[in-house]
Amino acid sequence: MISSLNAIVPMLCVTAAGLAAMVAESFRDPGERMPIAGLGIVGLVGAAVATLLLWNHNVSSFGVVSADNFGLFVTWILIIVGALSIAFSGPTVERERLPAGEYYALMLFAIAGMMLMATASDLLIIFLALEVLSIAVYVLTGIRRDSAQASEAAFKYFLLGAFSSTFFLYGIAFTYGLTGSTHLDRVGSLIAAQAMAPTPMQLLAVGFLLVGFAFKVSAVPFHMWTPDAYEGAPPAVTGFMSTGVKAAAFAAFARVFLTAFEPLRGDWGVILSVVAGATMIVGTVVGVAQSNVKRMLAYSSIAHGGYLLVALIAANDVGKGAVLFYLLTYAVTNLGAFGVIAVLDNGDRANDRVSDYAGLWNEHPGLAALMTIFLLSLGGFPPMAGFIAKWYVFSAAVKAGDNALAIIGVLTSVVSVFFYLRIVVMMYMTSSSQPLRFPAVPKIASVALAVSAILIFYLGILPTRVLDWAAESISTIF
Amino acid sequence: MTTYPILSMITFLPVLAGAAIFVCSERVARWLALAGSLATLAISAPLYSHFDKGSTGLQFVESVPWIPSWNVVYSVGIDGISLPFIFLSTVVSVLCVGASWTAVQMRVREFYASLLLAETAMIGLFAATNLFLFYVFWELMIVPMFLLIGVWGGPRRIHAAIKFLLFTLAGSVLMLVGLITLLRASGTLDFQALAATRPNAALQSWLFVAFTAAFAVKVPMFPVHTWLPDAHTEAPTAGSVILAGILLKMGGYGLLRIALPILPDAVRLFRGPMLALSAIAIVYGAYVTLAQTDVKRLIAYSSISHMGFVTLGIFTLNRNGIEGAILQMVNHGIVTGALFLCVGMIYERTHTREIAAYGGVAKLAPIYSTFLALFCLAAAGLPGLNSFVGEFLIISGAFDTRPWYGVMAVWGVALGTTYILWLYYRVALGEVKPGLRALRLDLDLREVATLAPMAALVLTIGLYPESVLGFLRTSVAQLVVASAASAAVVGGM
Amino acid sequence: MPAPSLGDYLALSAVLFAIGAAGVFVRRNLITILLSIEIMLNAVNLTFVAFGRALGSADGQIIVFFVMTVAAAEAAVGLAIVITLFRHRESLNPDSFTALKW
Repeated sequence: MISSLNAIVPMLCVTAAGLAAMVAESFRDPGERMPIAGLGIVGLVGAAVATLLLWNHNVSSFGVVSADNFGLFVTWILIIVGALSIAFSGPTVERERLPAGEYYALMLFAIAGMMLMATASDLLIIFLALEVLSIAVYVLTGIRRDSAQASEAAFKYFLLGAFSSTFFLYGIAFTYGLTGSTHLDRVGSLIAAQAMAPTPMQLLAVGFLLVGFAFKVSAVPFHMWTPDAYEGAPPAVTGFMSTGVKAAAFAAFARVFLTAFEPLRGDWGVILSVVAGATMIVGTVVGVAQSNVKRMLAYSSIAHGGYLLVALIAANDVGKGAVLFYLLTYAVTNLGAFGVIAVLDNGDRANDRVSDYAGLWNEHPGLAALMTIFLLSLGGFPPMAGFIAKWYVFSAAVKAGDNALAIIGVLTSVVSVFFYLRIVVMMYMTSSSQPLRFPAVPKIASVALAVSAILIFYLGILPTRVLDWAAESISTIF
Repeated sequence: MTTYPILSMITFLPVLAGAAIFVCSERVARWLALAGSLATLAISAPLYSHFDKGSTGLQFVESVPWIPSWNVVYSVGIDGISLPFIFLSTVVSVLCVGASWTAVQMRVREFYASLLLAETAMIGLFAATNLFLFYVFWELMIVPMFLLIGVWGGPRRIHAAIKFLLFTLAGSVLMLVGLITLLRASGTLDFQALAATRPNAALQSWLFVAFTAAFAVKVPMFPVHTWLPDAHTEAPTAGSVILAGILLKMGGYGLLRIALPILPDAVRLFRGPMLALSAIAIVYGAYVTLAQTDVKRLIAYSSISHMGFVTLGIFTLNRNGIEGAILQMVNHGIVTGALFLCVGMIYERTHTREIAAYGGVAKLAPIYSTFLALFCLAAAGLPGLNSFVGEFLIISGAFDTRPWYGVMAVWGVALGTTYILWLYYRVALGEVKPGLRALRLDLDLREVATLAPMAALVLTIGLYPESVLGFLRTSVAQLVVASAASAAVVGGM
Repeated sequence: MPAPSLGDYLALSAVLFAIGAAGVFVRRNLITILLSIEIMLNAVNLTFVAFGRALGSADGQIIVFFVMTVAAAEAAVGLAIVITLFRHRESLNPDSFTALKW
């Protein structure tokens, strides 16, 4: 039946584009320029149209992929992440002479995996999707083969990624043993039907799954790989994985824990609260000490993972849309910041230390202004999107009675402002001794940066519509 | 009453002008900024002519649903308490544009855009009628101010900017925590609704600590005042004027708008310590002022003393005290703003802020010295000039409730007269310093035009204080009754 | 001798998993570390098969096929990364990788 394929059409579009990119690469003469990135954009546009058509239809394919509005909302985020990442990749791919076909194909396969992860309603499919996206991202991290740093980053990322996957899988095994199924609906109804007191087996299943997810969303204490992988990868890839992987992982996290394991909330809620608090604190405090912008943003993204965990814990009638809204906001903002870093990456000079930003305002006033917008939004200043997102999360937490988490969140987000503003101080208030170190900005990348900035203001000033969408979307799963 | 959204217009016109500046050349930037701020001032005129002085409610109210799912409303409106501050914001902004005309030569467009963004934030803050909007504008103010100090400031500007940020953000974070708690306890963020459904006394105390910490940093109250001298000294003239003229008033306004009506039980509980801190600020600030050798630092410390009067007046909780406090805020904005303008003008010529480098300016620059004398006398509280009325009201309010604090305030006035007249003596009178003779010290027409409105305000308010007091009388009376009513209820329980 | 029970299989796989996890942390050779991860995956496979058998369904064994495929793909990528790393460092000892802080 053709109709049963409907739910996976967005993934098919993206995969097809990825395959086309690979084929194009193999027909490319050395040195010939091909608009391979354009293929990716076409695939993403196809996926966007498909997502639009699937909206509200709640179709399901093979019983394991359900294109409900929750999954589609995340798919939307991933499409935005993909389009922006491709736009920011141009300068890196060209300057570092990376194999364009392979680069974009890997990126597109990773996006397809992320989309699958966001819409999968079976634990085994979530695992497959996780591996599809992870393997592609491992390779992307190390795609600069001539760089020792990149290879090391790729290996560390790979090692801890594979390690955490086994934990995730072990959790699935226990869930299977417990319920005889890996399908989330069945798992959920069987767990709900079982005894009220959690059995050791249930705790093992929840525990191993939690560890697996915690690695993927880089929650403390499973965050060690993040700064290394983020620093070693090309900045466009860092932006991509810090947003896309996180969005997909949080989508699956929310789906698994808010549907199948919802009856055990009393147990995982406590553990996750501690993890969330530690994640926010460690991400912020260690972030203050960084002198490399990418590492700094890596710790910032760890802290933002903590805020997302708070949203997950506090998911109640008031705040259940917070996860989705925060993911969208964070994706656009963080990707914008890494976009600026990618654009400034000069090939032989990465320009990624905080002190490299001295006097950026004199050379690229527009870029400096955009970077300021992204950083202020990450810090949660009104009228940027980050403010609305953080407000949403913290007020949801307070309504859920998690006052401690809300207070930690507010405090850490203020501390984080200091390290974001260190970059602002560098850009505006210090001048550099070596002029003209920054490359020219390609058109496509500047358009993408401008679009991110506009989205940030849109979500910050007129958030109503998207907020309602987020709340309605997540209602389709719980 | 007007039929068009006048408050939104004056709130957002400056930021629109600021955005427009980016698409035009640097030469046009100054004129565009001037036009934007003047237009804002002009269209705010109906606020004064159509204001109903007898009404206790909010006027010129606009209310549009903003984020319906959170019950957040974009609502603005003014009463007698906010009106003087809106007036101050619009006037001071125009003068800041004028004062920076020649002083700012670097990154002119960005400078004026920041200035106009700050104006939007100030007006929006004073017009907001719910706490969400209040907080948004409160935070919005931080960024342009940070840039104004940090980019266009003096040699130690980065230090000053970061110190400013550190203190202000520490305050805002507490306010944000308080805000979320208040929302949870009361289910609303509208000022009037909050005043009608006050939280219980225990919660009020916590909220009072959170909110007052934020406001105290802005005022600044002793002991969180240490950012102010640095920020004032390093900021460019326009930045100092905005700091003194308006930013400090945001704290006092917050106390009046949030602490008094919404948390009256806590206000009564903490009144003693707050009065004591105010008195310390008055006297300590005045003594430290006496020891300063840098003109800008001197005025900065005098601000701490003068703002001590404001908080003293607010926490007397009687009509005289509160009316005096509001008037004192307006006066301090005018007088200290004007003094910073004077300092900035002469600094542009001499490039020094050391008092010792000056002397005999009166002989070289008679017009300048006349203005300086007027503003110094106003700052000293000479009867007939504006500050006298405010300080007199505050002191009489203090004597009505806590006479000892009244005594402290009188002491502060005496010290204030000393340091400010001594400043004038050292700068304007005495032997002409040799280095000054070669400079063309006196003011040009643009500078006279910048100072003249300030002088006019000093005289108008001094001779006819009713011009300001008339607007706030009804609202203050209502505020006093509201906090007293709560006390009665609590007493009866 | 009685047939091993479900508990025995689970215990065995838990021991294997623990051995693998310990290997990742204590071994000082990249290839051995990769093999340790494979041991962990196979421990999980054993769990799946044991549960499948106990539940009387074939699902457990089918899942194992999925996992083996994924493991193969992962091992291929992992070894490729190890090779690029070896080209830079001429060493398989993780302690010699110092370009990034851990």
